[in-house]
Amino acid sequence: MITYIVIPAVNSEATIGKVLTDLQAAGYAHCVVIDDGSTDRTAAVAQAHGAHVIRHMINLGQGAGLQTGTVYALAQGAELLVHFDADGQMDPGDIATLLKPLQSGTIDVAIGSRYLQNDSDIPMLKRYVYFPIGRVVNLLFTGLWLSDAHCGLRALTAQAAHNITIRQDRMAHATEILELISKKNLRYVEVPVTIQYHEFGQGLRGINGALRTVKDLIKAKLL
Amino acid sequence: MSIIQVVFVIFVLFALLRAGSQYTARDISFREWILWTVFWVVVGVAAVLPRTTDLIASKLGLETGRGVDLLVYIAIPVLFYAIFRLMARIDSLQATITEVVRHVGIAQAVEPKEASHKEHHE
Repeated sequence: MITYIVIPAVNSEATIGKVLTDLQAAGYAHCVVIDDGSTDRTAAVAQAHGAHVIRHMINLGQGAGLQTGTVYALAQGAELLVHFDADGQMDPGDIATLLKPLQSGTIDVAIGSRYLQNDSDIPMLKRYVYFPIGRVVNLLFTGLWLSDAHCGLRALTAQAAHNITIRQDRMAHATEILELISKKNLRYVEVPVTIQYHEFGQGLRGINGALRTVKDLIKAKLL
Repeated sequence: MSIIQVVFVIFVLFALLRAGSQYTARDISFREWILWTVFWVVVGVAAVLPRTTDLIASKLGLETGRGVDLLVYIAIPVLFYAIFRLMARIDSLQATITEVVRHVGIAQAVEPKEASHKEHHE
């Protein structure tokens, strides 16, 4: 089945090349990089590594990047889509495990979970503070209780991708996707994946981002 | 008439004139013009005859019977509603911007130079 890997990227010139090389080595020829208003050479590097490159002239956010990539990939005839990160923390080897349930036709969306196996070296603050809060926020907004609410690695069938239109431009898309899975009665499964945390780099920025995400979710409910 | 009343009256006259000229220039509709005119006339009356607002306040059952209190009570929900409307408007503008940026991005998408034919088959 024709598989497209959708990769939103912003100022990722240092990592995007290796990410694409690894994906291609794993057999994924169709990689779509959405350069989300980068000020560095992300687009040029991605292009040099054989990716389809779409440029957002201004930074919109990861959710907007995923939606742009999805629209493009579907137009190109994608049958399966995978959401992947540009920072090199995800393992292309996990994609096959994600795709397997989709290929069997019994599942519409496979969601990666850093919790189902213990290989991910998850920083303490994330494991014991952000993740549990994320799960509760998720349950409140989506009604789904997942072991890992916000792992960016997920795979969808084209049919599911048609049904999931991401309107949350920034980080709230992770919860929005689950909300749509629940609302549209899509069949989903959690699949264990490994994320290599290169650096923590969260701290206050992480908290601010989380608060902003909750604010976006509440706003979406009100407006 | 106190100085503050004179200032209010001058401002109201100015606002009425602006509303009139905007209507003649067709910047606002007839309905909007009427609405603004009524609004500014009410403000003018309240400025010149402040006791009338007291009368309305006590008629509406405000215990203090002060028109100023009535104005504050009306202003707060109106302002909150205005903020709500503004937020909704900003959100819809943001969505429009996203659509435009997405459209341009996809229209100018660069495909790989050598279209790879090795598709992933499981």
